[in-house]
Amino acid sequence: MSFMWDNLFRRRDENQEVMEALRQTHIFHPLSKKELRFVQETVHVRSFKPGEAIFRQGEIGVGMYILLRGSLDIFVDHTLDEDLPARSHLVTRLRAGDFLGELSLVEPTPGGRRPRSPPKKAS
Amino acid sequence: MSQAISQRTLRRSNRWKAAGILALLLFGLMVLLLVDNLLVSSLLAFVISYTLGPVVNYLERQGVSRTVATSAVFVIMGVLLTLVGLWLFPYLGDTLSRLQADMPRFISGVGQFISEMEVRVHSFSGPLANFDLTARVEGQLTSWTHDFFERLPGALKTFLTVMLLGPFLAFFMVKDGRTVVRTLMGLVPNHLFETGLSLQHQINFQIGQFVRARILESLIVGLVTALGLMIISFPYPLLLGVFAGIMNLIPYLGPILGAIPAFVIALVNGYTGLDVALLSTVYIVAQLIDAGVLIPLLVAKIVDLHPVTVIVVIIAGAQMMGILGMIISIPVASTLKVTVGTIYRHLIDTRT
Repeated sequence: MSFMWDNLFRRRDENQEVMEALRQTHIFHPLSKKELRFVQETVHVRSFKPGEAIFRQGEIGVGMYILLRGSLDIFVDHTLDEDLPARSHLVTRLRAGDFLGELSLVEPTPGGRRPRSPPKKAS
Repeated sequence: MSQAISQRTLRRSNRWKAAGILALLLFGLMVLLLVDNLLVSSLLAFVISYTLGPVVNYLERQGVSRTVATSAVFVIMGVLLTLVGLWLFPYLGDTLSRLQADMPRFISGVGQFISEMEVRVHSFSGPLANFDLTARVEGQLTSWTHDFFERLPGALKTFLTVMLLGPFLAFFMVKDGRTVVRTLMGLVPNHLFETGLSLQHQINFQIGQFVRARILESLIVGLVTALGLMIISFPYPLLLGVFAGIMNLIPYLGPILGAIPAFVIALVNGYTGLDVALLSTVYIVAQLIDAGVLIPLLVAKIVDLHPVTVIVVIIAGAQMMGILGMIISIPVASTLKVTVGTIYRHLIDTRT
């Protein structure tokens, strides 16, 4: 139960950590300090437990993720034969500072959302 | 590497989080409904925050801190409203005094009109319609007028409370609204976070657009009505214009309700022919501008509800909360529609 409130109570220096992460993400490099502060206001910091899925293949995505701490495994689920059970294999492992899901922000789709590609799991 | 969490533990945690959010929302709703004046003040605060929020957001994007931007906008609006109030309240006070003095004449005029109608009805219905409608209507109108002016001081007290509490709440909604939303979103389980965030954005956007559009629409209709009544030298033009603007917030029925007082005054003052035609023209022109220009430009695409749904929702709102219910019923229904649609899309779009 202790981790139930992980996403509710946040430390104030987390804002500095978020700002630093935004500065170091190369797609935000052209932004000014004022613009970065504006982007920072839209950021939500989430904690995931080991093994917890960030999102799954085929889900509609609405945002981009930047990894502040820990690592993230990307798996792809695929089945070559419908009669066989679904298989997944590890595509890559992301580290702190990496980002994913950025296409959800820029690609126009009905309702402004696009289906996610491979599922991601915290590790 | 930490041990991976079991799905069962995760599901249990998510259930507790969902229960927590639901309990918090229910508690908030209870407080809103049970504390005197809080619901109306909160609604006023929402309207103010949705109206002034874009201005504060613009200033924040220019580099002004949110606290300074919010304070500046509220101070400027406060000064402007105080200046308008200093001119308006004496005028309204004078108008209401004149209205109170005129009411017996209006009631007598309405009674006379109904009496004439009764005579005509009796002439062809005979004993079937044998009731003294005139006396009943006059008695009821006198009672309502007496109650209205007796309750006016109490209503003014409530009005002042709401006028102080509403902007106070609105200031903090604008300044800290995003922080509160972020804190509340912290309660949402991870697997529902994106859906919740998307839902929150859609509701915020839709309600904001709706509130701003309806306020602008009502202001313009009220202004056009007041100006038109001034041009034709009709009595109480500002009061009737304000009433028409406020009633315009009620879909479909509002324009009719907004015109009734003017036609009652015209009836009592013995207006005929050209005067009634001019009065009708003022209200028709205001509604033409509303229906032909304002609604297509401002309102139509925001609220995606079928006209039958709109009527049913208004009736339900009227039964639950009277005129206030009629006004807020559309944004509430629109919010429910967005919520149900988003939840449905989340359920059918999730694939493993």
